[in-house]
Amino acid sequence: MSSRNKLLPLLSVLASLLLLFAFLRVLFFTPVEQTMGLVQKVFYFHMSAAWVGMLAFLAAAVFGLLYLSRRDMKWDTLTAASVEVGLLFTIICILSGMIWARPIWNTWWTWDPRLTTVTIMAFTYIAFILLRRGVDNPTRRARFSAVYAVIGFISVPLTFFSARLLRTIHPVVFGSGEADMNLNPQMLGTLFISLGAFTVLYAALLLHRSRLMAEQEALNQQLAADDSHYDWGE
Amino acid sequence: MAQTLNYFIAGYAVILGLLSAYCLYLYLLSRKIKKTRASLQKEPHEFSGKE
Repeated sequence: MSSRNKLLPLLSVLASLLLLFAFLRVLFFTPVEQTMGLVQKVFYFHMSAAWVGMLAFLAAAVFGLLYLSRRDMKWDTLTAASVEVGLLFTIICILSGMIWARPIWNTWWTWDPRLTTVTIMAFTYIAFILLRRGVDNPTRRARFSAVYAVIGFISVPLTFFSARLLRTIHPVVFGSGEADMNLNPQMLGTLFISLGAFTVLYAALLLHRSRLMAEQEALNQQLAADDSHYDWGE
Repeated sequence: MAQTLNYFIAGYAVILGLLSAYCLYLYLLSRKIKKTRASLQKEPHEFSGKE
């Protein structure tokens, strides 16, 4: 058993336990915010999903650069896997944000700078996945994916700084210079545990997805050698 | 304090539901790959599309 194969079950168990711990802490050991009520507790996983989404796209850009410099297909697999997992977390962030916004802003959606830029970011990476599927040649697909992941990363700082530089109703938790969200120590503790749990979960999902992608690719090549192609139905 | 319990439940249902759905997708994909690999090892011509 390789070290990566040993690491994966451990990481999966650790991610599950951390996520459960974070969720229990949100439920039972974090005070209810006085104005917004219980829905404010969505914040801990909402912000963690946003953080991991951006981290995943940053990782995809780094993997893309590594592919371009080393031409090793393992970096291409990691690029694609990181984008897919990052997109999952970004969609979670958008949907949970909409649910939080409904009772607080009295609307599911508004074209606020932060919400607009995060939508642009999500569509940038949806296009990545769709376009990647349209390229059959593995080398061309890898080169295209690497360049796209690097250029597409522009949408990430755009999203991150939108709430800091533009007039927006979206609160800024850290680095705003104002007390947009007054979090007490218990709330901050829960936030950092959630951020840690989601980061470990991202690492576990990334390794699982990249392993499956590599196996799929190996099987496709084996089948292509038989002058056939197996449809994975994705 | 605003009564927002329903939105709290909906928020976590969406978050945990999507995460579970993605994990299930990975599990099913892994099973499909294992099945295909096993079939290929057993009968290499089954998937070749050739007689």
